[in-house]
Amino acid sequence: MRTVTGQGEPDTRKILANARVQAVERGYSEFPIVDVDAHHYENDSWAELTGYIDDPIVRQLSESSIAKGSGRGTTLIPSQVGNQDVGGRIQRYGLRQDEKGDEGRHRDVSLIRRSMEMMGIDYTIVFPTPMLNLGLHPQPEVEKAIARGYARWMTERVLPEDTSIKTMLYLPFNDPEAALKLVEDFSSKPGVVGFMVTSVRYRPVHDKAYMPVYAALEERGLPLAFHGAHNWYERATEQLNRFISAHALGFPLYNMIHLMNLVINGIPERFPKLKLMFMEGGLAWVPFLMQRLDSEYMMRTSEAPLLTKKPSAYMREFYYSTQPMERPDDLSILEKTFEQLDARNRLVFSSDYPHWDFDLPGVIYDLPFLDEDSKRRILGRNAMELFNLPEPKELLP
Amino acid sequence: MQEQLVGSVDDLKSGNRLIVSINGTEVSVFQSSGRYFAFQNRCLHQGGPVGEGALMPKVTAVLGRGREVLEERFDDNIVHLVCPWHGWEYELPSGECVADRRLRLPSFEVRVKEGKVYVVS
Repeated sequence: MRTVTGQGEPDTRKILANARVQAVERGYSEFPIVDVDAHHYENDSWAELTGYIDDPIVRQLSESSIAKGSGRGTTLIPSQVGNQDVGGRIQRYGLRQDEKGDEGRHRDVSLIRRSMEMMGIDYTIVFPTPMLNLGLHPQPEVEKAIARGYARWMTERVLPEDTSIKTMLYLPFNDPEAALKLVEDFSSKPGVVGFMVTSVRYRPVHDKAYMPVYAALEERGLPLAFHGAHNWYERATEQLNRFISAHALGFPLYNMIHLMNLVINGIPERFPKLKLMFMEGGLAWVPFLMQRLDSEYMMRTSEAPLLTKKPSAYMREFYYSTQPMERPDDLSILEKTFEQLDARNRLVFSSDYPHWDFDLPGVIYDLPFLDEDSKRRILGRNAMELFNLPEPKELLP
Repeated sequence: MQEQLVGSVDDLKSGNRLIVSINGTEVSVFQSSGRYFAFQNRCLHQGGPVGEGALMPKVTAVLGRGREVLEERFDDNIVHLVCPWHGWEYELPSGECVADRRLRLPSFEVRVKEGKVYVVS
């Protein structure tokens, strides 16, 4: 028996105790699990990260943006209005900021390892959190400097501590030349398994300035992920009066826009070996967009002259991460969605932990319509092949 | 039917929860407004420790004569147990999931006798 008093030190191992039970019950030690989208809060280490920003002007701006004496937080990154924790109802969400790391280990590595061990995850690909809004910064030079500082900090300070933690580095996409330079400079750094574009941004992804970036990624065989987010200040979503609405629509919305521009403008034809991934929009939007684009393509074929097959055929070659996976009452809808996007080969598990709507591996493992091999592919094998990850030395739990 | 002693009423003051095992099921015991409750401590959603979550009054919307929303209020007569992992809400005392009444969090009878709290299994 134990007593919960609401007191005590915040600890991921306590918060996720039930996840550990599930991992043992389901035998996750029998096969590798890869979480392709988890997060840390880079703003918690902002003073440390700032030291890795090369540009002296932006570094000074960054230093001055930190609350005095705390070393945490920054006003340099655009922020979003909203209550992620549903007015404090999701209690675990706010605990993380006061959690302490292990002695002699970077705090972010400590916290990430704790969640991995509780969920039974063998590899985690980690992404920043406030920087998901950095694409909205009005100064491209600030985005560029922070992106490079983050890349240096991750590859020099954080990732070397644990080889089970990987990253897809943030690309400063408002400056295509800077994005290319970042790919060139950091592709071969240990722990870098690809690159990421935050989806809330407004320069079309088929702009000719991006062709060298796509070519560089294709040449290196490194995936490019578009990571969903919401922007309540978006003109169309300003009329939504609740966070639930802005969040539910926003995450798939930007990914749909970017995917559509990529497909209709024939990027997969121009860069046939470029591995494209779409993250954190759930899955229900994928068959919707396949149907919409295929129907219109049959009538307006001349507007997409580079295509040699229907849009849905290109979409089936992309990769998709699972979270936040929808759970329709009628599971046959989800089963059909899996079929549509070739889930057995193209779907990769993501937790999004510690964000408010995280998923456990059980969202895949417990699906009644998947055979054991498909579960294991989606939970781990597909990502290991995509990111060229070696067999884990030891399987968790 | 067996009564299992889990603690005293003093143990459950200040919003404390007692996490106990009842026939192999982890159960959270707590009190709200002088009433005692015992629920399975695994959320029906993804298995979160729901019995350790917040107790929140139901939010209601008040409509005017023209069916316009006048305001939103807390209804302190209806309390929800909220899972700390993802926010699924269950109504007390039934344990019905507020967003889908077909779902119900398994509950156990609680008896209080002479300051001692028992869960009936």
